[in-house]
Parts: sequence; C-alpha cells; structure tokens
Amino acid sequence: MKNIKPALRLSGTDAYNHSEEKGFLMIGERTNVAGSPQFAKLVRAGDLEAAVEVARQQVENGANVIDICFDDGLIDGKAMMARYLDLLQGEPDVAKVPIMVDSSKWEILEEGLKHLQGKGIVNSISLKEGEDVFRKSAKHVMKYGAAVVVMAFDENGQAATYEEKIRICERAYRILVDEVGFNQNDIIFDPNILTVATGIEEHNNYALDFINATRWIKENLPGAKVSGGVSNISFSFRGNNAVREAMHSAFLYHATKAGMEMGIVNAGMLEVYDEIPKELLDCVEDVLLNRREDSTERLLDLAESYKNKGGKKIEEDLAWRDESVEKRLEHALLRGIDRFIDEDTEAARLKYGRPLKVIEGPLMDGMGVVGDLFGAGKMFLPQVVKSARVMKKAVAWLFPFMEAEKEEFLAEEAAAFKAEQPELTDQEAMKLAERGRSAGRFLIATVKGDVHDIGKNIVGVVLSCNGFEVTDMGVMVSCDKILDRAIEMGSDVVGLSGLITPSLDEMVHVAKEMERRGFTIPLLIGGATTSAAHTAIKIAEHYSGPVVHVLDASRSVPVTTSLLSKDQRDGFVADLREKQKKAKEAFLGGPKKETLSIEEARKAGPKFDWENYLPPVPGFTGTKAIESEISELVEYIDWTPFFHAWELRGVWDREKKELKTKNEGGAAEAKKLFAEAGEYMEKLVAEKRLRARGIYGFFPANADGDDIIVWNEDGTERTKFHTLRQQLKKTSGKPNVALSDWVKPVAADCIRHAEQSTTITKEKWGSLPHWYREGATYAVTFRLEDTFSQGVLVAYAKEKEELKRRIQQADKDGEEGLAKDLRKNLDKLYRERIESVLDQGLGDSWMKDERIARIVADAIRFFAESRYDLGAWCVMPNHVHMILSPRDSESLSEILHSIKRFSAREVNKVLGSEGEFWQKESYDHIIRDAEDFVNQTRYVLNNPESAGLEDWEFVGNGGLAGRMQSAATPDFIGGFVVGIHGADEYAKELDAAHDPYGSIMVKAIADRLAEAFAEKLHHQARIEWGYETETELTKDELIHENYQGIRPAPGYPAQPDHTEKPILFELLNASAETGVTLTESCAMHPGAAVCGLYFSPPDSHYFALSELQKDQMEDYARRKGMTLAEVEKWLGPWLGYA
Amino acid sequence: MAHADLSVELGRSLQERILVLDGAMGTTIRTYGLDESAARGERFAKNDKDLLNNGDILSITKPAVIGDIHKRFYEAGSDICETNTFSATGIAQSEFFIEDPREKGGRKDPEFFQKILENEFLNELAWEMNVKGSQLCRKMADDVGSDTGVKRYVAGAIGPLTVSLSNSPDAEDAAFRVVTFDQVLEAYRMQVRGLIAGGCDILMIETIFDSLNAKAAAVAVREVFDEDAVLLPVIVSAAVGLGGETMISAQKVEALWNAFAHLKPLAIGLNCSLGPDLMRPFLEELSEVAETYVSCYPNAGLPNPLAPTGFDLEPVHMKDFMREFAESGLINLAGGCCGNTPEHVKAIADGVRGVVPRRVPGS
Repeated sequence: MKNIKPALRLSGTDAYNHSEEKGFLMIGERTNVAGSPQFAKLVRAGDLEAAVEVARQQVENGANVIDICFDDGLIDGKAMMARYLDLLQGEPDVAKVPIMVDSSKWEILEEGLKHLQGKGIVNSISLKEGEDVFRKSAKHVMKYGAAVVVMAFDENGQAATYEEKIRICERAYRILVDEVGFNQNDIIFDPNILTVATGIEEHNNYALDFINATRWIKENLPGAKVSGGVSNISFSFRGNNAVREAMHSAFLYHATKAGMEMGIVNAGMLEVYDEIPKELLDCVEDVLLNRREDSTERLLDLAESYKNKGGKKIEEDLAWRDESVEKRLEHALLRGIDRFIDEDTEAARLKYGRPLKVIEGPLMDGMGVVGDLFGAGKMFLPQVVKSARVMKKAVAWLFPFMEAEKEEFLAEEAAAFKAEQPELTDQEAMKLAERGRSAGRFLIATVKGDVHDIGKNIVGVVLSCNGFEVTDMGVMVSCDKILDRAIEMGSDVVGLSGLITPSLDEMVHVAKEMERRGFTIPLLIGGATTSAAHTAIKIAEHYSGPVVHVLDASRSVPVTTSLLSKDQRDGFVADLREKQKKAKEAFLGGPKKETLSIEEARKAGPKFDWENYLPPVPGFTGTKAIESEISELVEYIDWTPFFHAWELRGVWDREKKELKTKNEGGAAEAKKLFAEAGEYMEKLVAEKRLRARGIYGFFPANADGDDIIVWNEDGTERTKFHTLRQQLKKTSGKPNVALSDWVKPVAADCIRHAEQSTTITKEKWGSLPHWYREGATYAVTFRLEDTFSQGVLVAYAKEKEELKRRIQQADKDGEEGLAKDLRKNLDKLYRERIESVLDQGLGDSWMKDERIARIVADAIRFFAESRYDLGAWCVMPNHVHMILSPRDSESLSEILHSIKRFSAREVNKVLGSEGEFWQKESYDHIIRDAEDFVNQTRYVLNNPESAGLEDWEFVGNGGLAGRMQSAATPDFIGGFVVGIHGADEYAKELDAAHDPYGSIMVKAIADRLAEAFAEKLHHQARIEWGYETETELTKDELIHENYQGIRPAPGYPAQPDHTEKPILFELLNASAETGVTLTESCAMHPGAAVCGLYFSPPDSHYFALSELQKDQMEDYARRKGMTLAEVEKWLGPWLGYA
Repeated sequence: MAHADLSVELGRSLQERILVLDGAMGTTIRTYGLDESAARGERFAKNDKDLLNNGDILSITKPAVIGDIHKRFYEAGSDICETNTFSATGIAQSEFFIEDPREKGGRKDPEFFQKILENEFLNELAWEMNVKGSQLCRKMADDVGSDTGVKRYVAGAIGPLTVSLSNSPDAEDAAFRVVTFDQVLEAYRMQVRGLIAGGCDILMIETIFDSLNAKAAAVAVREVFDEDAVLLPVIVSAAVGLGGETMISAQKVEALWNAFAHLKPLAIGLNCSLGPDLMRPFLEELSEVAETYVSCYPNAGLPNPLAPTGFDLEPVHMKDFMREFAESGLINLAGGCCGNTPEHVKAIADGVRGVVPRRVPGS
C-alpha cells in the first residue's frame, strides 16, 4: 500500500488537498469587506443574496479557498459570520470549497469555526499578545480541526526585516509543532508584505525581505506554507493603478519563485508580467529587489507618466476594437474581457465559414499565448481562469452552429437510408444513421493512475472504422467508473490500456472486480508493458470471462470480431484458454534460469580502476531549466518509434526518408504518414501550440553499494537513488551490472576496491620478479641492449626486492615512519642510481638518431590506441620511460614485448642491422597513489631536459595523465525531466472536434518531440560535462546513441522501479520547473514526457534486468524503506520468483 | 475516574485481525415483542407521548432486555458493542417528553432548545441513560470477556440528533437554524461525560448525517478529555447516501476524513444508510485516503417490510459481503447496522475471521 503524501488537506463538502505540485493556491478575496468595498457595501446594506453571489463568482473564477471577513465598524462581525456561513452551506457550488475565516478578533474566528463542517483555515493568529494567548488560540483551532495562518507578529510588533520575520516564524512554528502538537502541514505563515517605495529608507528592502524570508521558511520549517496579501506592496502608489498592477505582478513573479504558495490576490489588479512596459518593469523591479539607491525616485518620476493610463481600465480604452477580429479575440482572451466576445466570435465565424475553424484558429492562438505566458510564470492563475472563461463563452456561442452542422450530416445519412429503404419512417432512418452499422459495443479506457493513451486511441479509431461502437473513457479511469459505464451502455467488450507497470496491477484489480460483479463479457488487455504471458498468468486467472491480450490495434479487430461472433466465439475462447494454460504451465514448471544470490551478483559486478579514473567535471552543478523551441527539436527526432506507434514496423532511414521494411505497402504508407506528420509538425511549430519545457542538472555523487548517494555542497547526503543488479548467471563472462556501477564509489570503497578486489601476482619473467596488479598503472623503463651489464642489473634488482620486502614488513607492523623512509630509499635506488647510470649514456645511444627515436615513439603511441592507457612517456637516447595502464585482459609483459618487437624490427630495417636491439629486462613499478603518480610523471616529462637534451621532441603525455588526482574527489551524476505541454489539450480538442486522426497524430508527434528533447538535452549535457564537443557527432549518430554515457529512465529495463521518479523529480524540483507532474502510479503528466539519470563513463551502457530474486528484493526494500510487498508490487514483472 | 488510553491495545489487535462490531439495537429490541406499557414501565407510565420507539429508555425500564442483547452480540463474536445511547441527549429525548411547539403554530428554534437544555428532568434523564447504558454494556463485556477469555470492549454510542446545524427547515430563510452549535455542543458534552462515567472504553460518533453536528460532538469529546484529563479512543462513522455524501450536509467521504483527521480517531468509517453493495465504492474511497483504521457496519441491505428483520439481507449475505470487503483489504472493523441481528453478527464474524486486515497507509 502506498504512503500518503503530505499536503495541506482541507475540505468543504469536497476535499481539497494542496500539495506542492499544485502550484499557487488561489484564495478568493472578494468576500472580504476589507478588500472589496463593493462586498462591504452589499453586506452593510443587508443584501446578502448578492453577497452570496459574490462568493459563487469567486468559486467559478477558480478560487480554491474563499476568504471571508467582516471586520468592519458598521457590521456585527460575529453575527454576520454565522449568518453568511450558514447561507453558503445552502449553496452547493460554494459549500464545496474550504473556507478561510478571516478576522482580527478571536471571537469572530471561533464563531466561524462553529459554522464549518469541513476543514477550513483560520486567518489569523500571532504572538502579538504573547505565547500564552497564542498557544491557547492554537489549541482552540486544533480542537475544531482547521489549518491556521500565523502572522509574523510578536510582543514587539510586526516583523519587518528578514531577521525578524524568520525569528518570529521559527518561534511560532516551534510552539505549534513541538508544544501544541499542530500538524505542520496545516501551518501557513504570513510574513507580512509591507509597502515599499515610501521614501523611508528602511522600507526599501521590504519586498526582498519578504521574498528571502519565504525562501528561508520553505527551506527550514518543513510543511509550512507561505501566504500574504499582495496589494499592500504597492500602497504608496494608490491612485495609480498602472504602476500598482505592475508591482503586484512583478512581486508575485519573484515571491512564487521563492516558494510563496498562496496569497490574497485581486485578479483585477494584476498586469500580465510580459505586458508590463520594459521601462516600467525595470523601475518596478529595481524597487522591489532594492537594486538601486534612487529606485524609488525613479519610479515616482516614471509613475507620473502612467498616472492617467488608468491601468486595467482598458475596457474604457477601446482602441483595440479597431483591430482585426483575430487581434480582438486575442486581446479579449489575454485580458479576460468577455464584453464583446459574442459579437467578435460571430464575426470570426462569418469570416472563417466553419465554427471549428474559429476555435482552431484565432481562439486557440489566443489561448496559446495565454498558456505560454502562464507557463513562464508571467501570467497568474486568476488571469488564466478569466481567459478560459472568455474562451468558453466563445465556444458556447459556436456550439449551436456546430450542432447544426452535425445534424445536417446526420440528416444526409438518414436520407440515404430512406432512399434505400423507402418504408422507413424519418425517425427510424435517423436512428439507423445514429446507430450506424454497429458491429458491437466496445468500451475502452486507460486505467487509473496512467495517462498514456496513444495506443488506446488508435485501437478506438481502428475499431470504429470497422463498425464497432466505441466508447472511449479517456485516461486515469477508475475501475468503478469503467464497470458502471460498461453496465450502463451494455458493452459487449471491455478494453483496458496502460503503459506503466502499476497499470498491470490495476488491470488485475479490474479483472477481479469484473468477476466479483458477475461480468461475463470479454476483457481485452493492451499497452506497452502488457504481454500475452502476463495476461495469461496474472490477469486471466482472476476473471472467468475471456481475457485476451491484444498486441496491437490491428489485432484488435479480428480478436473482437471472433469474440462477438456466434460461430467463432467458442472455438476462439477454447483456443485462447488452451494457450493461456500452456503459458501458465511454462511459467510455473519451465526450467528455471540459473541465478546468483545478490552477494554473488555483486561480486560478479564490473571492476573498474576507479583509483585511476578522473571523472569528468560538469561545467556547473545544480539545475538549469530549459525551454526549447519546438522547431529546434525536429532534427533530433528519431522517427522509427513514431511509425511503430502507427503500427508500421521497420527502421526509418533519415537520409532517404523512407521506412526500411519488407512490407512495400507499409513503406508507401509510411511515406504518406511522414509527409502528413511534417504538415502537422509545421502547424504545431507555427501555431506555437506546444511548449517544450525541461530541466537538467548535475550533482556530486558517489555509489554506495548499489545505491547512489547525491551530495549537498557541504558533503552531507542530499538524496539517494537506488539501483538494481542483474542476477542471471552469465556464461558469457560479462559482469552482472547495476546502474550504480557507473558512478565512482564513495572514497572508502574506492580504496578498498583497489586493495581488495584486485590481486597482486608475482611473475617470474626474465631474471627479475615482477609485481602485477589487475587494473594497476605502471611506470616502466626499458633500455637498449648494451646499456649496462646484466650483473649490475641483478644486483640492483635484489636490492630493490629486499627494500620492498622490508616495506611490506613495516606496513604489516604498522611502522608508518619506517615504511615511508624505506619507500624513499626505493625511489632513490630507482631514480637516482639506475637513472644516473642510464643518463650517462653508456653503450650505444641509438635513439639519439631521430629516425630511430621516432620509430620507438610511434610504437609507444600506436599500441596506446588499443591496449593500454598511456601516461607520460619519453624516448631517451638509450632508454625509454612510459607510464601506462593496461586495458582489460592485456598483460604488461605482452605489451612491452609488442612494443619492443615492433620497434626493433623497424629499427633493424632502417639501420640494416640484425639481432637484439632492446635489453630483455624491463623495470616496472606499480603506481601507489596519486602522489606517486605525479612524481613519476614529473620525472618522465623532465627527463630529457635534465639529461641535457634540448628541444627533444620524443616526449609526451597520453590521456592517462591527470586522472589520478585524488581518489576522494566525487563523481557526478546528472538527471533530467522534459515534457511537451499542450499536446494532450490539443488532442482533446481535436477529439472534441471529431478528429481522432489528428488527435493521435498530435500525441504521437508530441511523444517523439519529448524523446527528441531528451536527446537534445543529453547532447547539451554531455558537452556541458566536458567529454564531448559540440560538433563531434552527427545527428544520425546522436539518434543512434553512438555517444559516451547513457540516460536511463526509471521504469525502463535498467531500473524498472517507477518509484525512483519522485526522487529524481524532487532533486530537480522538476514539477515546479517543467510543469511535468507524477500521478500516484508515478506516470508522468503530460504523457509526452521523458525523465532519466545521466551517467558519463565510457563503459556505461543500457542493459535489462530480469529474474530479480527475493534476496535482492528484501535488500532493496530495506534500502528504500519500503515493505517487501510494496517493492514486489512495483517490480512484479521483473521478479524471478512467484 | 481515570481511564487508560486503550488506543495502543486496540491498535495492536487491529493490526492482527479484523475486529467485530455489533449489530442493530433497534432491530433486535423488536424481536422481544415489547409493548408500550413494557417500554414505559412504572416510572414513565403517565407520560403524554408514546415511548415504545424510544429505545434508549429501555436501559432504564427494561435493563434485562438491553443487557441480554449486548450479551448475545458479544457471544455471537462482537469484540466491541455499542451502548444503547443513540438518542441519549436532552435534545433528542425532548421529542418524547416535550410538547412540539409546531402543534400550536410555534416553531422549534434556539430559544426553544435553550429551554430544553435547561430542563432538569431531561438533563437527569439523559445523564441516567448514558451512565446506565454504558454500565449495562460494560457488565456484559466483562462477563462474556471473562467467560470466553477474549477481551470485549464497550463503545459509547453518540448519535446524530434529530436536528441539523447545516440545514434550514425554513424555506424563507436559508440561514435559519433550529439550534446553535453551542447548544448541540452542550448536549453532547453531557452525553460524553455520562458515557465515560458509566465505564465505556471507546467513544463512537456515529451515523453522521450532518458533519457539523458531528463536529460539535468532536469538540465536546476534546473538551471533556482536556477538562477531565481522560483520553479514550474515538471512532467516527458516517451515514452516506447514494452519491457517497453525508445524508444531510452533503459532505463527501474524503472531505469528511480531512475534517476529522485532527481528532486522530482510532477508526473512521461508514455505517447505516446503504446496504453493503451500494456502500462499497465510498468505503473504497475512504479506505484509500484514511490514515487510520477503517470501520464498516452497513444496514442489512435496503428496508423490506416483508422480511422478518425489516431488511433484505440474511446472515449469509452479510457474511459474503463483509468477507469480500475484508479480502479486498478495505476494512479493519466490521459489523452491522439496521437489520442485523446476533445471527447476522455471528455470520459476519465468521466471514472476516482469519482475513488479513487492511493496512493503514503510511504505517
């Protein structure tokens, strides 16, 4: 069972739960006598009927909560509160919303509470009269069960500065939460929005103080919300509405970004942020953000010129009436003016000919602008709701015309029937036309918790084309509703669709319910995660009627036809049951694949030499929100899946623009489809109907076992991702991977990794023993055949061995000081004594000859491409140094052998000589740590110069250099969320306009755009991460993912657990930044959205999990703090046990 | 009198199994064939109005019958029985003892109810009903508990009253209310105190038609707890209509949960009004959102004058329904409301036995 999310839970007759992703909670303030003189007048005059109407309008205008206040000298506040609330209870439309009882008097607040059956909000209490009174009021509020607004006041008065605000709010919070036991989610702070630009210097920072206090509260007082009365901010400009409206809008823009979640806002006193003249906006923001010393004066000066513009009094400024009808409609929508909407809509209808064209054209254009501005935080909900109302009115005007069109169409059909069968009455013919030639009634829906419906819509269309009467209930439909409707319409078949894993469970639930409620009609199952096996094993057993998995839309027709055909039905069902029985037996009795315990699987995980790996460092950490033009995404689109959505199989060739498929008809169809998609795309781009919003970010992170810890700046744990490891036993020798393998382990593990998981082997090779360690980095020296005698070499080698032995002994005994000294000795032996002999240039110094040196240098570089990672190297006249790290399965000795053999052969060719060129022996030294690495590197690079070789070109540094800087530096992980907004809405409109084709097209395109956006963002992220350059890869390579790094998504094969999504969303603050939200089942909304993590290492690759075992599930449940049952529920299809 | 908070103990049991509530008091009383004079007894022989339908008065005039009913329910398998105090408030009892002003062209209004609240006879009667009702049930709980070795609990029943704080009976004035919140609060405060004095273990605000009435009861409970330094588990149970809203105040179930969550009730649930089949979708909805245990004791179907109990469903039907609820993980406490006899309860107890109880979200 799921946990219940923290939220501010309120109610009237309906519940209203405000959680963070809901955005701004709108409090209707027109029912406040202090805020609305008009309301005050009505109440004073006793016209309560009209006063109730004001409340109703608030709710209609979209208020989530209505604020009710009767603090007025001429009104008996307590009696009026009681009476008014009693009246509202009789108005179902109003009674449904929660009420905020607002008064400065406790007795009025309490009276209000006595008239609320739901859970309301008390506005407000404070520490003004000390802690005892505060505590007592809070307890009373709790007794009645309400949320509370706490004003930032204390015994000394109102909190004006940032410090005062946060001090008082924290004090109040601690009393409420720790002493009174108040639910922290029910606490709302009002840290006082105070007037700025008063000319008094102390007031200059008031707006910023509020904004900063808001941010502090959201970060430090868990659960608490922030609210405020916005109009106060501009009080010093009363009488100048243009300036006030601009100030309100700009203030809200900044305060909501800081976390202000609700507030008292007069929608009529808000300018659209983007419509504020630039010059005014600059001055206003200077004031609000206290950006200049003279900002108040400047705004005052400027304000003069706006004084007579009258702000929102645009209804009287009718210049816009002279514009074109399209412009007039846009203006009306943007400003929420419905006064002329009927006449303008009619004018547009006459101009466009068809009512639908008006909707799809100018009206949708206008709403598109509104949507863009709202999405950018530049218009606010109240304004948007007003726009929507105007839109509704326009559509309502058009509705009768659309109905008439439909009637006409039906009449034509009916006439056709009559022509064929003259004996029919008009009524009968009409009925026939309506009923069409129904082959059966088909009810289809995407199950609760899931929003995906492209496939389902296609099934719907295909079936209706084949004469079935299809009722499509849309997405997120609860079981009860589906089954109630099935009964109501006498459905012959129920079809369920779903894309995400939890939908599978919901389908099982529906099957059980159908059984419980005594259904017998066939149940069809479809959608990306469904399978014939799952249907047979998990769903069919719960329902005695036929349960059929339908692979795709084209299969839905023959299946449904068979199921509904008297002749075929029995045979089909018998066949089906036989198949399902076999599938079940195969599942239960089939040979089990061999699996590893999670412990073994971890041991069989990949081994990386993290010690020698320097993770690429991204250009920034934290997040960046990105909005992309749709047109910029088009080139990133991978069209292949688009054709799959339309059930055209094959691979799309970008160059030739054709679908590579064996089916010729399919290829032709694809061509047509592609052309049409292009048209839609153009339209989508031109109409700006879609918005691509995304966010990505990088965070310092390290793997901790199979988890990935994400760090805060200060090194504390910020959050944790959990990954799952493959448990199938692999005969290929490939490792059992988990996503965490591609993040560097936490420092401790990194060292352990180097010390324990690799073995040091001693090999006898030549006359010297060599120490090898898997994955290690070596400094190697080898020299010409005749540099010095074997005897000297052996003597040195013995000395070296002895030193090494003593070092190991000292390490064992814990004699750190001694070990260090001995190591120095060892270095000295190696560096000073041997090297000095070498650098004296004894014997032939063939490599003084540049031709020879080049051959050797080339050999070193040549093999570096495939067999080892090369660090510093140099070719000296009689010897060679190189630092290298052999790649997997390469041995150092063979590498050296290859270099020597290859170069010797070439040299002999040049010199016309024969025989040994190199001495057989080499010196190798395992790089101990970063310090050692740096020292060795420095030595090698400086060697030519210190040996007196000037301008020596045979020295270099390969890619290995710099990688060993510190084992303790963190790695990084990235994450992203992208969403294409507007497609669902557009599709819905197209549906409503009876254009299912367009609807599916738009959704399918939106899905592709979301993927394209993800691809584009990943591209950008890799560049930002510094390991790919901008033009390194072509678009085709990008689409085929020929790049380093992966972006796996929770819910997909590498990590099938959807519940990792909320962790990612929270880390990125994705819902707020991109508008993409998660349903209870962790599906993303809108459906055209993609999310995932970024991993950078070259080895990272996509993989699939299967056969997860119970031991891992238990471990995983413990790591995630979930129960085993929950984890098993979310990962059902991936479990390898029953 | 000090009461230990039983929430912990009950919570433990609720995690292990589904606890069984009792059935219908009224329905079962009718099977004893009492007549008007039996109901009145000597004490109320001269009352102006009939008392046969005043079930709560039987705790005083026929304690043996009420005790026997409790005993039978406990023996049938009830872990928790409700006291016979559904209407044991001065406000509700006034219907049986005070002349209705409407008969003489007057009206019931706050002024009328103020007099009711000040009526000594009614106050004493209500107090006695609550204390005796609670004691009667207590005795049987303890008897059957010690006989069977399974501890039984007493839930003090707090009914919905015959007046509404949300609804105006005056077509002319939508803001008119016959009674005030404070008056309802006062009546409930006395009931809560009486029930506790009689020794009940749990307080049950039930058959909620009007959420604002129930709010007053909730406030009464909180106030008595604070003033008397006691703490008892509370169960909140609403009677919803076909659309899933409280029958008078039209509050939907999630809204109801939001409005009563602050009480931290031991359980929240649905009872009465609908039979189990029609109640199910709303029970499911409540079960989804409630961060506490969920109780359910529906009527035995819809009223059917031809059936012996007056309701459609027989024990075996209730058993099947409640078992299905249990198996679907919807409930933690199961019982029956109107139309459910001890035989029904026995069947319900059989039905839910051994079924894993619903898990509280977030626990």
